Amino acid sequence: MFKKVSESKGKTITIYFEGQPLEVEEGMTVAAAVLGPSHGWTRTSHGGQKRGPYCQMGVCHECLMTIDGVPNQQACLTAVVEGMQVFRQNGVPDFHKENSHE
Amino acid sequence: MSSKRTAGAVVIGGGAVGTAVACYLAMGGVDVTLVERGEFAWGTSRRCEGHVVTYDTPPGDYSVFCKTGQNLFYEAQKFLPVDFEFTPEGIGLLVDDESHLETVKENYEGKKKEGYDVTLWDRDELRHREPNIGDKVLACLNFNNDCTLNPMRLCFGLAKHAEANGATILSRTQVTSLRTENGRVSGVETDKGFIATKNVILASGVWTPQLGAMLGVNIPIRPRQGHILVTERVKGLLSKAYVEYGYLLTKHGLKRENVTPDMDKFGVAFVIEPSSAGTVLVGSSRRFVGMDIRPHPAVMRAVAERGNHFFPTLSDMRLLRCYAGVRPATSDELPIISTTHVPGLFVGAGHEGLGISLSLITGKIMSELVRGETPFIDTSYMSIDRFGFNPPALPVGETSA
Repeated sequence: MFKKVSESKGKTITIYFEGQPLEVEEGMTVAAAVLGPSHGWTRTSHGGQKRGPYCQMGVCHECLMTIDGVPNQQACLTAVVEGMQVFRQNGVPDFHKENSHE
Repeated sequence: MSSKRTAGAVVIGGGAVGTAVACYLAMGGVDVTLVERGEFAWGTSRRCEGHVVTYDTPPGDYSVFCKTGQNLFYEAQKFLPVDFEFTPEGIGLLVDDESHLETVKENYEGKKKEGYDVTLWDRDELRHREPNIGDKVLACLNFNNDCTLNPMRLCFGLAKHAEANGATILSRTQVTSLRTENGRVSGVETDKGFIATKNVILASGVWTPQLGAMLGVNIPIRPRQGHILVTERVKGLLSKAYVEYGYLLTKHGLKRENVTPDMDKFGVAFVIEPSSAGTVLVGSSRRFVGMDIRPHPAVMRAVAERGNHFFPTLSDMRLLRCYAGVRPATSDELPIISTTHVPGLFVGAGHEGLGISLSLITGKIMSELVRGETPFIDTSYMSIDRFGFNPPALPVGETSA
């Protein structure tokens, strides 16, 4: 579905998308790195529809993913890091916690 | 503009109050025309949180009035043609200061006597219900019939229902002057033509004084600015809307002990509401800065800080946007629901933070006043004459640089 317009010039590193290793060019954004293997969708809306990176510049919030365990990260503004764990986000993050006051 | 040039009554203002007045007039059989200079819910009604509340009025006549007004929403939910995201889950009043507990308990007893459905949660109960609540919060007084709704959808619904009952709805129509004949209202001149009418209802919130001035009627309402922050979408942060008890103190201009100088200066008091889309609205602020509706970073920061005090988890969340609005404030915190000394000129404005709450009851009463009936509930203390005959205008405040 997506292909790169220029050949890779930099060093490659490995990140993990949905647990699968992915060789990507250093300095890319997570959104760009997963566009191919994600088939364009990186999260579901709270209504369950598939959503993917749209504006690629931090405005639309359509590319929210769970990165290294932290939900709601803007994949288009996050650079890839060696060993990074990237997951699609289902719906919205749940902030409900079990009663910690007791 | 339509070819129609006469109306039984003209309502000016397409916010929650104006659309409600038009709706009840139309339902009462009056040939009404609603005029809005922008689109519906264009001014204050789209810049608020959409609460229908009884928590902020001490027991008494006005409290009963607010409760009667609230009941109308339960009815309107059945007949309005638009789903206005009515959520009757109740609103909790959070107490974080030991010294307020006594007053809150009195309030609880008083409201119970007036027939309110109120419950009081102690510290443990509150933590059980809201695990994300801050450590310093001591208790919560729940007003179980208070509700939240989508104010824009409410306005659309009221305008649509008015139209279905024969009203003419004119958006993007600016009133340029009001006319009288032999001392009585005779018509409304707009940028799209003249409408002959014997009754004009000013329901234009903060813009009402400008309209009143066209007929030499001084309406003492001034704009008070408020901020609301919108977070990213989450779930599980909280289960319903809350307000801090300090909100009542800021509303009545009283000093609070446990706030920063900025919070004090900007009248910041915590208000939170989960929206149906998953975002969370966080407020609030109160200050007089003229008609300025630009969000101000220092105010936003103070609102966010206050939010973190009540729900520390908020500090882990991202803000998507912020909006500010100006609310029509009177000097005694009561709205003006009244005839005026100009026959045929009526005022339904000055509700400040209760515009959504009191929109329907204002509509209903205004419909009765225009039709020459005695209002079904006493509104004499909301007459414009309480400020004296044709009182001078209030200063509007300085717009900040």
